[in-house]
This record gives sequence, structure tokens and C-alpha cells, in this order.
Amino acid sequence: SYDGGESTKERLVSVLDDLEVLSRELIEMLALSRTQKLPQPGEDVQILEVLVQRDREFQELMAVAQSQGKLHEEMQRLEKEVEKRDSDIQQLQKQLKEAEHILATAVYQAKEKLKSIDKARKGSVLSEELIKYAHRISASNAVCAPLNWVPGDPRRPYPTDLEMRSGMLGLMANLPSNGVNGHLPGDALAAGRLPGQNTHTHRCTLVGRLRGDAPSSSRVRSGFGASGTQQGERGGRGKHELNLIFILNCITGWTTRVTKPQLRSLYLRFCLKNVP
Amino acid sequence: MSGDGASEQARSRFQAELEFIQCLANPNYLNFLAQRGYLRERPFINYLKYLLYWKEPEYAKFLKYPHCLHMLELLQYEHFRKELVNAQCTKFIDEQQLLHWQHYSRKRTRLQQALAEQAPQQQPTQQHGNATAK
Repeated sequence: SYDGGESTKERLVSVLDDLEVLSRELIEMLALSRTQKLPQPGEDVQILEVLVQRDREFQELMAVAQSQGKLHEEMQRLEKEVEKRDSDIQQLQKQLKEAEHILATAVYQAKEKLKSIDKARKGSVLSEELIKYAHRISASNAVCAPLNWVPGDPRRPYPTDLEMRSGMLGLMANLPSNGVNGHLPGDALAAGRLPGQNTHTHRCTLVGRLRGDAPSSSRVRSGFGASGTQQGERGGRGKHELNLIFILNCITGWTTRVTKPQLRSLYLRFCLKNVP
Repeated sequence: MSGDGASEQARSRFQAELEFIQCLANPNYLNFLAQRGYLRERPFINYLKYLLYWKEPEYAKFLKYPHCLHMLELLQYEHFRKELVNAQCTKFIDEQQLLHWQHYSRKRTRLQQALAEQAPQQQPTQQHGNATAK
């Protein structure tokens, strides 16, 4: 509704009412004029004129109503269009959010991957070194038992008492060790046949030496092979060889006490003895 | 001159620590240390912690008896150090260690047996496997 507060519908209805009233009056007058004369001679013409005017108004109003209807339709169409656009925008918004989420995840994963690549690179070891080390610890039976091992075999996956005493720390303590009848302890040790290798002795003073304590007294209780055990000082050369054999497997070529040719021959002798 | 002395010292220290850490692979030695009370002393415990540097590859490659690293890790725990006083405990550890040590050779013999049961065409492959297995 606009200007005057009267909607088209109301106006149409009022015009129709007028028309109804007028046409009724006219009909009444015409019905009356059959029996008696008209009191006012021009009245029927007047009524007709007003009737025609009202009819014209009616037609105008109908035209207006039609155009209003068209506008209304247009409005509805546009509203529908707006709704459609709104839903499109919402859809795009959803997709954008999803895409953002996926990208954020991807970036995060990529960062994690980069981190792990860096970590792996830092911890990388030459494959050749790995193989060398694997060979070293396997060949000496340090991690895998020798195939012919039976209970009673003195070989162990850890340094035995004798080896411990023959090392640098043991020598620093200047302990008398178990030699075997003048044979080079090195040979017997290499062959794994030296008795008393697994004695449950409580005499080790390696730690004592480290702390600067005096060496404690010895109490040797050999587990087996007591027959071959002899207390005695080892010769200087024997000392070196035993030391060497223990250390050779740890740090090849580190020692300066033995010359290179001696080193090589001892190493060869040791290797040959240990070939299964 | 002082430079030589320092490097000589460093070398002997390296050697000493290398020998000592590998001795830790011996459960009997661990029992000995526990019974003497060394494992209860704070300086010794700190020393064990200090020795953990042998786990890094550039030092670990010198170790002949890698079991010592596992023992060193266990020694960081007070409960383990306490338990080592029992001879039964170390005997058990020794047994398990030996069994584990034999595990790989058993695996190898099983593998060899499996290969032997296969067709004779596998013969050359089998021999090649023996040579490079260790």
C-alpha cells in the first residue's frame, strides 16, 4: 500500500461497491419509470454517466493491479536469485575451509618429514664402516656363539678374567697372572684353550687402579683346569703380546709398543688361529 | 713437549676407559663390583653416567663386546645396581646372556638346515651363503 494508505484491493472493492449501488439504483429507476413518470427527468442519465465513470475507474484500477502483479512476480524471481547466490557463496566457503584444512595438514606433514630427514642425515653412518664393524664383532665371536660351542668352552661374549688382567688396566696393577708352563699365553689364549679363563675370581682391581688405590691381595679360585695353572711372572714379550691381542681387536694399530712387522705377524697368527 | 704428554695421556685414558667399559659386559665382574660396594658410591655412579658417551657411533665402533653397552644402560638404574649384589642374579644374567649369544648361531644352523632341505640346485647358493654369513 502507498500514498493515502488505500491499497489497490480496497479501491477496487470500493469501486465495485459503487458500481453495484449505481446499477441497482438504475434498475430500480427503470423499473419505476414503467409505472410512473420520473420525478427528476435527467436523473437516469446522471446515474448512467456516473456508472460509466465508475466503470472507467474500475478498468484503470485493474490495469494498475496487473502491473503491480507483474512487479511482484519480478520481486519474487529476484529473491529466488538472491537465495541461490547465497547458497553458492556458502558452498564456496565450505570448500575453501576444507582446502585450507588439507593444505595445513600437508604442510605440517611435510615439515615433519623434513625434520626426520635431517635427523636421519645426522645419524648416518657409512655402510662400509657398518660392514667392517659387523665383521669385526662377528669374527671374534663377540655377539654370536661359535658354531661348535658346548658348555665347558671357555669362550664368552664378554672379556674373561684373563683378558681383563692382560689389558692395560690389569698391567697397571702389576698383578701376577696365570701362565702355562712357559708357553706363550698369547697362543693358548687365541686358541681358546687356556684354563682358568673363567675363574670366579674376586681379585680384579681394575677399578681400584683407576681410583689410585693400592692393589688388593689375590685370591684365585679356578673353576676348572687347575692342573695347568701356574703362578708366575710373565716375560716382557709375553706381556706385550697378550696386551696386543686384547687391544688389537679394540683399536687396531693404536699401540706403539710393538713394531709394525711384529704387529702384522701377530695379527696374522691370531687371525689364522681363529678361523673356524 | 707438553702437547705430546697431553696426547699420550689422552690415549692411555681412552684405552683405559675402553677396557673398563667392555669389562662391564662380564656379569661376574659386575657381581664383584656390587659386593665390594663400588656401585653404591656416588663418584662411581657419576662415572657410569659419564661412560655413556661410548654409545655414539664414533666411539662405539671401537667396542669388541657390544653387550657392555646394554649393561651400561641397565647400570644407570639404581634398582639394577642393588640387585647385582646377589650371586643368583648375576648367575641368571650370565645364563641368559649365553643363551642369547647362542641364539644367532642356532638361527644360522636352522637356516642352513632349511637350505639343505631344499633342492640340490641350491648347492652353489648355499656355499656362497656360508662364506659371507659372518
